[in-house]
Amino acid sequence: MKTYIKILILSFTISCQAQDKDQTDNLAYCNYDLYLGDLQINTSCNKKTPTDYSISEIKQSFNVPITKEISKVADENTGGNSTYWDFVFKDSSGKLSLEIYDSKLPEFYLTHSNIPVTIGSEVIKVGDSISKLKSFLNTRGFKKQGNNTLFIFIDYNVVTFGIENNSIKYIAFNGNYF
Amino acid sequence: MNNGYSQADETLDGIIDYYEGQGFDVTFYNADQWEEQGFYYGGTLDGVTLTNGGYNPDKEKSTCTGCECDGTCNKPNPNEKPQGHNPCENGGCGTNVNDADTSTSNTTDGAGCKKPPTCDSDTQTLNLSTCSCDDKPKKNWKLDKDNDGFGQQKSAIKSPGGDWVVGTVKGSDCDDTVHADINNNDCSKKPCKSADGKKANPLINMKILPTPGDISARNSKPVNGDFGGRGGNHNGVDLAAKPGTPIYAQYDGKITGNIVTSWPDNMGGLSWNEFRDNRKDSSLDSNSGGNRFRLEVEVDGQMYHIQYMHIQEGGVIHSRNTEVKAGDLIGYTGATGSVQATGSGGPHLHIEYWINGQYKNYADPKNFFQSNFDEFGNTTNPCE
Repeated sequence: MKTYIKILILSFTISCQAQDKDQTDNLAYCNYDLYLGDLQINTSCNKKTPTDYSISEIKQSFNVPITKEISKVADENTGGNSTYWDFVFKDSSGKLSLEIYDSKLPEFYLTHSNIPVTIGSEVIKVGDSISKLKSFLNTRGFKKQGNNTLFIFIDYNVVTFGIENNSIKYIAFNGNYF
Repeated sequence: MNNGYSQADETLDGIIDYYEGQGFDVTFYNADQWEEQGFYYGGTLDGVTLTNGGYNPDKEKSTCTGCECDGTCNKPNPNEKPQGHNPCENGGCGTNVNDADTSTSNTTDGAGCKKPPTCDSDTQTLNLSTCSCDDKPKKNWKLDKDNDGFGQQKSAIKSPGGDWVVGTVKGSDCDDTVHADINNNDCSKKPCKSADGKKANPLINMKILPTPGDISARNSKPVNGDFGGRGGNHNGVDLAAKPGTPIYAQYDGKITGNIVTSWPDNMGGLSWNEFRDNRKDSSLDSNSGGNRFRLEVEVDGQMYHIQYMHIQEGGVIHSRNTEVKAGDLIGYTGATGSVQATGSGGPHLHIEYWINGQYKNYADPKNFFQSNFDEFGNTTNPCE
């Protein structure tokens, strides 16, 4: 009986060690809703496309002036017959670059401190302390690149946190298409 | 020999009349031809009085004492010319220029003779000063600057013989003309090809991401590099490749599509998202595929565009409409674009097949590889 218990404890220990080695193991997929301000960024599992949004819906999602607006049918870069939207919202508190490319999921790069990013039940802003981020990341697993970049994976996609002076410098969202 | 005509006759017509009157067939030479025939030539010929025209008895014999590798004569007086013909032409090599055959003789018995050896054009060059074959500089350079063993652009490289050469090598440790296996530094390897030579693998080492160290994570969805992975959004195959790995044409075809070359390898310490945001401010390409190009091919009567992404800075080596053959070098892999930001498993070649060249009309690239793969992304059929 003691032998069985030892094997059980050993197996459990090995299992825990394996998970510690790759912090992406405890990622969950297709479980998280992601919001940028009030705009839902559909993730891969939802099988939605940016055409679920109208341009006016996107414009009204952020209370920040638009400084750049590109809306066109994609050219040969994307093979044609696709939409390409690129918006930049910018004021003294920072900016949001939002790109909807090739009928893929929206991607964004955010330095604006008043536009929240919601992941599941967590609400995170640029300028938040890294201590809040640590707690958030440790519940989901993450990958680290250098000392200033952290990644978490959400439904096959990637949320990137840029870190500077112990606070969040930027938040970015990228598809994982290539 | 006597000219037989007077100064008064030394006009073109006078000469013609005189010699034809003597029963000769008259052939005129220009100044160079005239001297080649061994005659002095004292002035312009056509319409101008000839002075001192006449045969030079001293040129009955060529003064060639031997032949150089390049077919020129050794002569005591470099200004003299051989009689009638150059005995050193056509590989000739002799000293007795009274022998009319010397111009085509292959004998090597003449004093001072230098008969050019036959050099291997692939590996040797003819050294005219020594009349011997010198080895060409070997180009399977080892990148010695940082001993990284694989290709980045370098400005200083070291040959196997240890000679420093200033130059630029894109990607490979090996000569571009040799199909390089950059991962193993074996410049003799080539990509697998079909028996009929019409189909080749795009890389020498074929391995679908994740890399061997991540095999346990192959089914981990974020890094699954197989076709249809990542929630169905991965429309190509990711082949593991260190930056600088040579890419080969899979079929005969031509370079096509939108060719993007503006992404650098070095992002100046910025993360990819920061770097990309700066680029967008200047309206540069922001596609997460990075540097890219396409190859138009036809397979079994069906046209495809093969899209190659994340190409190294400087790794797009052909311009649009360049025609290539299966197995030809067409570029170098890299890590431009979102490779560093999306957890895609590390540097790789993202390769897509567009049916009829249409975006979003994809075929599984694995169907076009010469290799087959097991569940871990390793090849199952060794390359012959």
